[in-house]
Amino acid sequence: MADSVTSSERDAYLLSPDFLRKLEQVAIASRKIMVGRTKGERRSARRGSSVEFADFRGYLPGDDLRYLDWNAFARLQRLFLKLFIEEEDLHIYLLLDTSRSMDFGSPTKFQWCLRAAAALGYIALCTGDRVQFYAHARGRGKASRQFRGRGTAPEAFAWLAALRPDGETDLGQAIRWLQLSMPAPGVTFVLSDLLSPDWETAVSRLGVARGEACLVQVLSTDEISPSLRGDLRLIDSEDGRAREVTMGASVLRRYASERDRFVASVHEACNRWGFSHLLTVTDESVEDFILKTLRHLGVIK
Amino acid sequence: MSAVDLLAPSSLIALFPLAAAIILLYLLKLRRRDQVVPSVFLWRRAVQDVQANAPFQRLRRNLLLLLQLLALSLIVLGLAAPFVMASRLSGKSSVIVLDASASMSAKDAAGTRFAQAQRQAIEILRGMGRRDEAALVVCGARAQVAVPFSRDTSRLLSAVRDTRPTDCVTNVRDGLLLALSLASKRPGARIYLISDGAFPAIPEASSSAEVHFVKVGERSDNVAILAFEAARPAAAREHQVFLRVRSFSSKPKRCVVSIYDEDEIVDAHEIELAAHAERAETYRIALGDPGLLRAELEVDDDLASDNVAYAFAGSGGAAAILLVTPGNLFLEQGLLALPGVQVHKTASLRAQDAAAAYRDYDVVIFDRVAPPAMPNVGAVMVIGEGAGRETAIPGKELETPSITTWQEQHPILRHVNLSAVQISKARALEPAPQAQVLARAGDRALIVAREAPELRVLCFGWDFLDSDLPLRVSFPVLLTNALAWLSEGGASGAPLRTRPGSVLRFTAPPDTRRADLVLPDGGRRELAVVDGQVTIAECDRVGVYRLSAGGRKWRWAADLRSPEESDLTPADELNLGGKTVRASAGPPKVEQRFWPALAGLALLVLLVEWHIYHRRY
Repeated sequence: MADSVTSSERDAYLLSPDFLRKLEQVAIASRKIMVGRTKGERRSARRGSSVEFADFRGYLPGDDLRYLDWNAFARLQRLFLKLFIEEEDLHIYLLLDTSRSMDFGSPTKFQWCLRAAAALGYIALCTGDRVQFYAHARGRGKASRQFRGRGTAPEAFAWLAALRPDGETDLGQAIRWLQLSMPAPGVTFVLSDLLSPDWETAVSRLGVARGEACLVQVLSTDEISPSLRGDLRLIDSEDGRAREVTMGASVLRRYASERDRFVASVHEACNRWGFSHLLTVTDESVEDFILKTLRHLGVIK
Repeated sequence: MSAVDLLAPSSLIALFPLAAAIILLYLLKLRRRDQVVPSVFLWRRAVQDVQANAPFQRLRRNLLLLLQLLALSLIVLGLAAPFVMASRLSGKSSVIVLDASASMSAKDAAGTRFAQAQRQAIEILRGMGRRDEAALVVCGARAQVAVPFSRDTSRLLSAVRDTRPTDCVTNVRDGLLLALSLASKRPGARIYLISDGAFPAIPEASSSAEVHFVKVGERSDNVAILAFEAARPAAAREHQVFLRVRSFSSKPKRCVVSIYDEDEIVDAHEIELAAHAERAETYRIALGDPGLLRAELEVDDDLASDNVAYAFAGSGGAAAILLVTPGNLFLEQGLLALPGVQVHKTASLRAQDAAAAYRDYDVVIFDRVAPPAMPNVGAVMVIGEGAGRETAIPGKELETPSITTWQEQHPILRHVNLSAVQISKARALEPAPQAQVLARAGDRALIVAREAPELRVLCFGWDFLDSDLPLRVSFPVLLTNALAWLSEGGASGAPLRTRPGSVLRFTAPPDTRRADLVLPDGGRRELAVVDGQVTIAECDRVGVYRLSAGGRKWRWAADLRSPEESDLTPADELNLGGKTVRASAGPPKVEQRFWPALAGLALLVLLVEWHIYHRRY
């Protein structure tokens, strides 16, 4: 299966068969118990027909007599109904920032995010969860169909491979769109550099979204420690606005402190809204990020 | 300070292409490189405060350019080798001879000539390098080394500033010889003589040392009193006053001569003087009992100190002596040989004339005549007789006494040898308790002196003709000493006229330790009495001086009366040891380059530029 995916895709961000095999071993953890749509491997909020006992309740006429607890009736002369945990599937939403600012770094943040999204999606498909990809830049949003089952992985990868970075970031709008269109609560992964003045709006919207969320902030090495020198005119890749900067030690120092403050405030906002925030640099391999960082943080088990 | 000049002015041309190159590089450097970044979101805030003070940024950028241009200018200017002619000491050792004579007080230069000379000396000293040394010789009445060779510029400068001009006649000869002897120990030493050159040629001043003559003074516009005497001829009622005035000016001068008796004006005349003319005037002025006469010229000229002269009326300044003797050739000749002495002889003195004689004459000498009465005020010398109960009365006759002890230290017997004096007969004197025995034969007194306020009595116990004393060398010395001592004790304290710069010596009353000197300007000095004598060396200004010690008072006046000093014509050259030294208006100048300072400054500017650049980046 994994081999067929590898052979059908030629792009550089493809996941190696070895990596795919490793991904089959893990699953996405969900702290909340959510209602799914069809039978799956996840414990659901619903009471249902699994073998795991959940609770008792009094019998009401019309209940299935198969679930009556006869032993209790023998002791207490009252009718109780045994309730079992329902196991359903989980919705995994992967929102990718496809603005032009993502097309920087080596590898580009965009490539990195595609591979991370592919990996996360593959994990979910392997565990029988529903996966839906969203790609968003200002004015141009794209949502994939819901994938389910390992067999849909090639189609999902192909959908991802067709994405191209373009346009401006509008993450707030993207999350709103995601919220409105998500069919059921689930786990939402947002992959973005978050380099947009409205990042706070985005974070707050993500905070009130149904289900769980995890914000993966991807920055390139150049954004962490720029190697720019001299008298420059910095041009924004998205809106083309220019800013004249004479690069010097003091400006770089100010940039570094500004960057740290920005990351810290994002982290603090995410904590306040109760979801995970992960900062990663494109230097870190996707494999390490998924299998070590995410597992270490308990996002993957 | 002379203007800055350039040795290589053509180097300055290089400034323009180099400056143009810097500006061009600067303009090229300012083109900003475009750099596309993912987002300016983070940069915006990082750059915000930098952009907030963008004008300052521009200024700072311009500051760098300005500093670079400044450094370039300094380097190019340094290459052009600028120099000034500075009055640096060109010799390692220098002697500055400062003329402080009367003519230096002339007011033709800015301030006075002396103030100008001080400025010249200060300018020379300021040019001293750290390894240079200098000495200062000041020529007032006496030439003296004010500061020996020293590297301490501040000490030399303060010595120059503290030097005061005097009213003395120039002693540049001594000063120059002193400077030459100082310089002879320093090879290559230079002598800077700062003077108006109003002094005669100095033929003996020959040395290897180089002498620079720095001239001060510009013109000669002066009228001076060269002579002033007053005397009353015998039997005349009026005093004759003689006055000689000379103009050293090239313009005709009109001046008023006023004559004062003490501070009371007794006569005033207006006289006119043609250019370089001299006039001698004689006036007859009725003066009752004149004291100190003062002649003053009221004239607009450059030098004030020679416009006043003093004279003591009476016997023309000489001591008047009344000799009462039956005839003593040795004594008369001895007295006549003394300078400044007028001797009146009489065979006897009546008792009723005695009081007037004591008052009119400075000294009354009784030779083998018993004084009719002893005065309370005056000076009396008695030979071969007693001198009254208060001093000594004659006692026992002595045959061939020989003088065994005498007081060599007493002013009367100073430099007098009495050991070999042969005396055929004498009368021993019986001194009063307040009298002092000056010489003894065994235990008998032969010479007795008594000193009281305004009274001095000297008594000899033998007739000079009964001894070989008049034939001895000691006799004129004894006579001089005796008259000097006696006339010091006169009623008015024997007024004197001196020249400024004279050293005067006065004998103070016994047991006096301090003397009080009042200077012409009213300043007071307390002087120590050493061995009974007061030595006055402070008398270097024109005017009246007063000295008091132990109740005794002296008064004397100093005036200039020097045609050499009054002639203010500044010399353009000096004749020193046969060589002619030409005058220069200021200290000699040497070329002083300062490119090292410019190079250092350029380096400093570059360091500042570097620092500012690195604060930016």
